[in-house]
Amino acid sequence: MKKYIAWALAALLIVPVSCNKGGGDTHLDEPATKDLAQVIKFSKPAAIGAYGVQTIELTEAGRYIVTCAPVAKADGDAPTFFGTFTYSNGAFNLSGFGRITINGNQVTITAESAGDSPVTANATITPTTTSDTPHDNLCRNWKIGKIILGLSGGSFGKAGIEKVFNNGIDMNEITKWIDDNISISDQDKQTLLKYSVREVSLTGAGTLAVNFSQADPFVGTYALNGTRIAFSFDASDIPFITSGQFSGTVTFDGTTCNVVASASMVHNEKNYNATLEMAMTEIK
Amino acid sequence: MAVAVSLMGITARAQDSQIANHLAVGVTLGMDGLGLEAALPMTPYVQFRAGYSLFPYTYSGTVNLGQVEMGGTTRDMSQTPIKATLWKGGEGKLLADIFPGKKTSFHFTVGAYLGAGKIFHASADLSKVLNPEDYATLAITYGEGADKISISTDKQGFVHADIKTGVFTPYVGIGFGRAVKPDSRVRVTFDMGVLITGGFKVQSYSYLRNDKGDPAVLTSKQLVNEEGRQLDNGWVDKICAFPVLPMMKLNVFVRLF
Repeated sequence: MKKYIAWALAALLIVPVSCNKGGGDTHLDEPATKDLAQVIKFSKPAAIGAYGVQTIELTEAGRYIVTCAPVAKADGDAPTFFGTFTYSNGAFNLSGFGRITINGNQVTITAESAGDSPVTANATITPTTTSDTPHDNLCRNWKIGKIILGLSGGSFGKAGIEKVFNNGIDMNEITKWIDDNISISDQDKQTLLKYSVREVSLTGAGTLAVNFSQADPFVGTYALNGTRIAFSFDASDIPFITSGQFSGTVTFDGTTCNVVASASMVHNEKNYNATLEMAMTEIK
Repeated sequence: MAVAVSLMGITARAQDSQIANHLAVGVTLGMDGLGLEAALPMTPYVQFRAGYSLFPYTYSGTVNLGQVEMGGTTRDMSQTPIKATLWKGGEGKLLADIFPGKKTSFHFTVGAYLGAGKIFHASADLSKVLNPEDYATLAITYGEGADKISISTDKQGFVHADIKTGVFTPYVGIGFGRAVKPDSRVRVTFDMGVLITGGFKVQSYSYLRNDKGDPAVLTSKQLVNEEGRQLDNGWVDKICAFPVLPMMKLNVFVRLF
C-alpha cells in the first residue's frame, strides 16, 4: 500500500512541474530608466523656432519621443524627434535634441536647433506606470530579428504567399520581394526603401514608436489586452497601406517577443491582406 | 539439490498452465507491410504478441504539377520527381490473442499500433525549380485566419505530404491459428481486423517557423479553384472522416522453445 501512495505522490509532483514548463509569465529585467518614465504634455506648444513642442515622453528604456506642431499652418509638417536620453545633475539630456529640466510644472527646454536658448513653459507631467507583467515586458526597445511576411488576396486569388526574412524589416530585401510578386512602380520602390526599421519602442503610456533608418519615426498608440494588441499610426506615407490600423497578438518566448499583426492593403485597385510575424529581442 | 527439485516443480507447473513457457518468432506480411513478431502464450486462452513492421518499397517517379507561379517566377513543375511509400517509419505493435477454447484456432485480437502513423507519405523534389534561398523560407498559403494553411519545402527543397493517423492506434480483429503449438515447430496464422483511427488527416508541412515542420491539414474546404468549384468533390473530407482502417496479415512463426 505504501508503495502505491509513494507512486501517487510522485505523480502529483510531476504534474505541476509539467504545467510550469514554457509558461509565459516570465518577468524580464527592469529596463534602465523605468523610474524616470514620464509624459510631459505642454499646455500650449513650447515654441522652438518654426515649431512648438507638444509632448515629450521619456520611456522606461532610455528613449525620448518629442512630438511637435508647426507654429503657423504655412510651416508644413512638424518634425518628430526620437533618440536616447540620460539623466544627470537634475537635467535630462536628449541626444540630438537638447536638454530639459523640470521644476514643478515648469519645464525648461534648451534645444540644439534653437541655438541653445532656453524656453520655459507650463506642462502636465504624468509619471508612467505599467500595471501587469505583459505590459512591463513589452515596454522597452526592441530589435526585429526574423520576420515572416505574408501576402494574400488581390492577384493571388484563393492562395497567398509567405516569405521568411532573417534580417528584420530590411526594405532592400522586402521591396524586391514585393516587386517580384505584385510588381510595383519605381517611385513606390524608392519610398519603401526608406522604411527599414531600426528599432521599435513601446511605453507604459501606450505609445508605439517605430524608428526607421532613413525616414522620420512613426509615433502612434497601442493597446494591449491579454495577448491581443491593436496599434495605429499615420502610415499614409507608405505605399499600399490603406489604414494605419493594425491588430494581432503578442507572446513571449523567454526574452523573445513575438508579434503577429495584419493590415489591409490596396494595390492596382485590388485588395490584399498583409500579415507580419516578428521575433523581437530587447535592445538594452 | 533442493533448488533443482524446486525449479523442476515450477517448470512442470508452467508447462501445465502454459504460462510463458514457449516463445515463437515470426515474419509477417500484410497491409502494414513486412514485419517481425514474437509470440508468447500466457495460458491456453491468451497469447501476447509484439512486433514491428514497415513497408520496404518506395515508389520513385515523376509527376506533372504544371506551371506554378511562386516568388515572382513561373516555375516549370511538369517533371517533378516524387517518392512515395506506405507506413513511413514503420509501426510497432502490441497484441493480445484471446482464444475462446483451449484448443481452438480461431481467436479474437485486441491491441494497439504505435508509430509515426504515416499510412502514406510522399515527397516531391523541388530543389531544381526553387532557388536554394527559398528552401524552407518561401511558402504558399491557402485560406485566412484560423483556416489558413502554409506549405513550404524543407531545407533540402522537398515538399512532404502524408495521410496520417494518430501515434497510438487501437486494433481489434479476429484471427486463425496459434503462433505456438508445442508439437509443431512452424505455424502459419492469419489476422484480419481494423485499426480504430478515428479518422485520418491529409497534411503537408511548412518549415518556415519550425525546422521539424508545422502540419498543414488539408480539407475539402481548401481544395477550391478560383471559380469556387470544389476540386475533390468533397472526397478528402469523406475519406478523412472514415473512422477505421482495415488490416489483413499472414504470419509464419517458428517456435524457439
